[in-house]
Amino acid sequence: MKKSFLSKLINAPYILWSAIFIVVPLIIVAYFTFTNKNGSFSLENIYEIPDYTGIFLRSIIYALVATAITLVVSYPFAYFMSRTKVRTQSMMIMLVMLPMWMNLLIRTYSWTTILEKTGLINSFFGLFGLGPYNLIGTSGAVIVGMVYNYLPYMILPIYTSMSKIDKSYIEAAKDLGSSSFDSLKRVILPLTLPGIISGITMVFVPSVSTFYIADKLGSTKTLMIGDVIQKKFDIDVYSGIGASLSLVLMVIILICIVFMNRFSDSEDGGIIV
Amino acid sequence: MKTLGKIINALIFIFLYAPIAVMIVFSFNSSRSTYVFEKFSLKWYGEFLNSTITITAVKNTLLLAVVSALIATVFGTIASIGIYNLKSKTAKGAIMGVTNIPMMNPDVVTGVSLMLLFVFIGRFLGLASSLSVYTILIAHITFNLPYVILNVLPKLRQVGNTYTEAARDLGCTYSKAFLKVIFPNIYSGILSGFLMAFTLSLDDFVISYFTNGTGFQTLPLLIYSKTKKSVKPDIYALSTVIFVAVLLLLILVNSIKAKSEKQQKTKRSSKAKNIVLTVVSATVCIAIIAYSAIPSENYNEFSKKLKCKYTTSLAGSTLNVFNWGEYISDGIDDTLNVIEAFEDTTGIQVNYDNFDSNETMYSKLKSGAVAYDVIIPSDYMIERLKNEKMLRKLDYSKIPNYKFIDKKYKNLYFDEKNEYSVPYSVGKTGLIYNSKMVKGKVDSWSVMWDEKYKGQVLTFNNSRDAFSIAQFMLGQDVNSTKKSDWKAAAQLLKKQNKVLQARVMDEVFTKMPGNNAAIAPYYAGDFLTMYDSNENLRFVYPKEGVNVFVDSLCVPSNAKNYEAAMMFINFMLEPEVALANAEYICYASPNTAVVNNDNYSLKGNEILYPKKKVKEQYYHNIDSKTRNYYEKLWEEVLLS
Amino acid sequence: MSNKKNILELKNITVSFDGEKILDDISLSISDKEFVTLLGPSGCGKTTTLRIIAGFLEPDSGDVFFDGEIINSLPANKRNVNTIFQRYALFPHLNVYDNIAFGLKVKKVPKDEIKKRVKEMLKLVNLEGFEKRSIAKLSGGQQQRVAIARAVINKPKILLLDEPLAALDLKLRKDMQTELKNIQKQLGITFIFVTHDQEEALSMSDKVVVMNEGKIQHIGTPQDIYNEPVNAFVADFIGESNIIDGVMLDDFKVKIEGVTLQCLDKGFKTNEAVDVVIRPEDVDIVHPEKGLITGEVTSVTFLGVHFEIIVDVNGFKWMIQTTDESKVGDKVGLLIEPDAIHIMKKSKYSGLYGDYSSFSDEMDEISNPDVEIVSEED
Repeated sequence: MKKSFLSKLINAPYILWSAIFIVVPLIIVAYFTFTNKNGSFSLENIYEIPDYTGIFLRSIIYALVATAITLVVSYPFAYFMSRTKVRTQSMMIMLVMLPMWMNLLIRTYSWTTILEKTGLINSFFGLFGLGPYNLIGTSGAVIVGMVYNYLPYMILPIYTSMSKIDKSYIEAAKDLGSSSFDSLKRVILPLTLPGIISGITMVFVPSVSTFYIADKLGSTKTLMIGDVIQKKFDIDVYSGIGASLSLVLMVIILICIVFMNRFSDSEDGGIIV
Repeated sequence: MKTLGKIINALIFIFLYAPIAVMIVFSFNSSRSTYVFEKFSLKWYGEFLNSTITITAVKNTLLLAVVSALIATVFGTIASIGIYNLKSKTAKGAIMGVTNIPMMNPDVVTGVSLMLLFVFIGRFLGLASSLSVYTILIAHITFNLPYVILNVLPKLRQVGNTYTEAARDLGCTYSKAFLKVIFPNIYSGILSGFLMAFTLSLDDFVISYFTNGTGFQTLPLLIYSKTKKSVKPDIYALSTVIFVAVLLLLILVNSIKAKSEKQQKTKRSSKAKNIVLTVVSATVCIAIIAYSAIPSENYNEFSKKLKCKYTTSLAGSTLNVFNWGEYISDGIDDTLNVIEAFEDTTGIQVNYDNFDSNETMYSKLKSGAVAYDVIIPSDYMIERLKNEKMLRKLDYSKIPNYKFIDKKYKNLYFDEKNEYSVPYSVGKTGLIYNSKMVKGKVDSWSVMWDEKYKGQVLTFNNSRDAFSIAQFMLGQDVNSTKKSDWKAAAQLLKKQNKVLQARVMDEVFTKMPGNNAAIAPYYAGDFLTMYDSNENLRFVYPKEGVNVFVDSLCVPSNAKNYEAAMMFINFMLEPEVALANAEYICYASPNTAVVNNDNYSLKGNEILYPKKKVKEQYYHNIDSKTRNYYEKLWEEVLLS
Repeated sequence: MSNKKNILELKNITVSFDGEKILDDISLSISDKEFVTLLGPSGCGKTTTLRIIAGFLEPDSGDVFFDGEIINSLPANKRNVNTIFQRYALFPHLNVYDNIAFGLKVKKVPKDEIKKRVKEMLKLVNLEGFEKRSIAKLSGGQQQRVAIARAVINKPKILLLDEPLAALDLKLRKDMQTELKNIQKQLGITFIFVTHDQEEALSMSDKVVVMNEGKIQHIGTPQDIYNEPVNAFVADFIGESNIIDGVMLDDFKVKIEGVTLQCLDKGFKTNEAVDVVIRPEDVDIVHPEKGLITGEVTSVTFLGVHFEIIVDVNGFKWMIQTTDESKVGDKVGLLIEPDAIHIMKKSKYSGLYGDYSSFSDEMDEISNPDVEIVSEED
């Protein structure tokens, strides 16, 4: 008896906190979505959403492409990393995580030096009489920015699930006649699926909602929904359309997470982080 | 196979570290460019160490990260125990579901929703400013909590109930059992939760952006405002220092781990303790270094040059200033650090924040999210603020230095009776071009439509300035309320799309000097900054006309420290201060004491102070119907 | 060369890790259809030997012959050998059917045939109807059977079993021993079985290879090994033994504890110091006067089938298993038949084993703070 009372007491502050600072804010977002400037119920913000379909689609496509690239790049990286010596592994993990400690804005900004018309890449091509190519301001630059910033979020979960694989599974596969490729395809890949899925979620979610990256590395033609929302709230704190776009973004993310969770048998039922 | 792996991994590391290498290399650049490396120099390290704003931002960031992570860790650990002991599965599921929200929700949405909540509560409680250091703290705790819980809860599950039961069996009370048995076992989870929270808080930009209040700038926010304009290598220098510090820290932790793994007899707990000790002591070291690096410049000499006497009667009070980014002399390159000089002279503590557009500033003020004592809006925004009764009349008797303001800039349309504003800086739009890339005489905006320069033309990425160019070409009034006028201008802008390389704002600071584009419209003073790094650039005031703007010092109606605001405004008009600002900003000064000063390096500059009359027009506040109309047209232009 | 065909031969195999010799000059030949057990305590190198045969490890020196051909560096997937792993290593992402079919799928065997053969296998291991079951939902015994099916479906010439029964409880272990033996007979292939359980080794094998410290100590049939251990280590490791210092007076005459006994061994030098092995069940307790050797009972434990009695003879403690009860403090006589005495040459293990005055080695280990107990082999 005493214990359950205690646990209720112990939970009360946290429940209160999450109600006020997690649930209520979302209700307020919904409130602004469904009211007009005078505070009465209105669907005008909903009607405006279709104008942003293009930007939503663009954000989703960019995020998908960036996620796909990070996956394709990270998987072999994690695979080879997991096969090196333990000391090397922890060293490499450290090196993968290190850039995450640097400010995202600075890291992103540095890319302009690399990608500009007179930047490092074009100077390099210039040595061979090639270019200059238009790199900055393109969708490619935005995607490179996203891949760069979110790559560790893909590498780490894949590596973790890779290093968790009991070595005997791989030996068993070999023993049963698999070549290295066979055991990669039939054993390692399926066993690292949870890592892949959490990697995809961890890259896709921030990518689709990112702001700043598209702003700095892209152009007005590559603007993403995060930038739009930021700008809406910049010029109007009570932006109804901003609220409605946030709501749509949230729903997209939710759908994505539910969809991804169907692939994994996460026991907690929550998201995998 | 093995070599293939090595190649792939090497390429990825190159990819991961290329931007960081760029950052480190350019932090040692002797010039302010982040594109062209001139000479090795350590000056940017000195600059950031001498910049109060940067150091304060570092301190704030560390303070916020430590405090929010600590609170979140304690709170999150208690919450985890509560959640773990919950009997009901549905309750558990519901709490965990809510806990997950801040993790899966996009940062933008979390930030926006918290901001809305704070503004809502602030309005409800009738607070003058609803956002403050506490709101950013709450926001950080909120997004840190799930990560702590996520680290502690699995440990609790791992430990299970048997230990508690064993401890109880051996005569412990519940709390003692927790301290003696559970805590040591979930300790590593708590620690990693704390570290994760600390890191996230340290690096958070998005949520801080929406929830921070007056005068509490964190490093990411500072960097954001700095990267809005051309990045100077000082921020690279700072980042390099952080990079090296983190690198050393990680190496230290790693080697300790390796050592204790070798010494098999070392027990696990002491290993963990070692790591904690190093992490904590390293963090503390960084904090102490940051704290002790407060620059201590002496302003005694300087104060003798002041025209007015400044009392220290308001010493200890706080003054909140809201200004454009990079719009005040900040002490870099041996200039005067105006804020510090003011603080030193008056004893008033200044909180200095940046905005990047009139509209952003307006919306923040209007919502009551923030409260400031001094703001520096542009002409049309002053008109709007005045109309909406958001400005307070100034007490000119306390601003004797107002006498230095040029008559030209008094009685302007937005403040006809000189009641609300004191001009600070004057600018004009104009056309910048690269003489190596553009041939022939340039005197008209029409060159921006010339197909010869396809892919080399930049234009404004803000609706009003972009429209104004089309309006000047069409000979319209830039403040027209006729829909047909705006429509025609939009048509013209759409035609421009095919020659455009990009729509930019501050990116021109890198694009034009870097020869990345041939033609761009921008503000006259900024041209001078660009010219410093590329002498092939030229500037003209196109014959069709240009926009002129006056940014003025004003006091919002909800200002808390009116007297200090008067003092600050007067101080800003001090010839020495105004000179430093004029030199720093590079815009035309409305201050006669500056314009006629022989020490003023830009005295009589043809571009800032043209002798020939330039055809120019002010923007006025445009009614919301027209504004909405042209904003819609603008979006069409963008999408076409 | 014997007339039986050698399917596998190890010649002078040596393996070191970090400068430590794990296998030291191992040579071993295994005939077709034989059930061979590698027996030894943890760290003796038995699993390493198995891994060399499986192809997970290349020897530093020495050769592995399979059907007369050197296969030292032939990768595991190309060897006609399959393994049952210590904890089975059943793929957790696949169900029973897919686990068993794995090897055939890799070899791109037609689907119909896979289906047929998996069915046969399931029948062989008594798991019909379990096709769709997920691995996590199987009991230890069922997992064991799946592991067998998964390995033998590939029709290997040799099946390697790495302590496959270690994870099962006693009763199930006994049943599986019989079943494994049956399966081996049914399939008619060679089994190489690794265990540290001497009972398991004795009951199942055609041939037992006793290993210690990276060296083969004794190769022989279970009876050979039990009755004629080559040294004190083997004698102690296989069953319980009293190992007493003795002197060979002449052929068939050995002197222990000051008493000369008749024995069946010969060929030693006169007065050669030897180790004398006497199994506890071969000693009879009689009246002191009737015994050849006398001693005092120091402990009596009732074990159901018999009593385990420790008798102190001049400070050396004998273990005796008998159905006759004695009391602590009784003076007793010990009677030993000549065929119960086995004489061994002195080896480096002499004097280390066979005295019951102390606890077992394992007990010594857990009481010693300087020794770290390693439960996992390799």
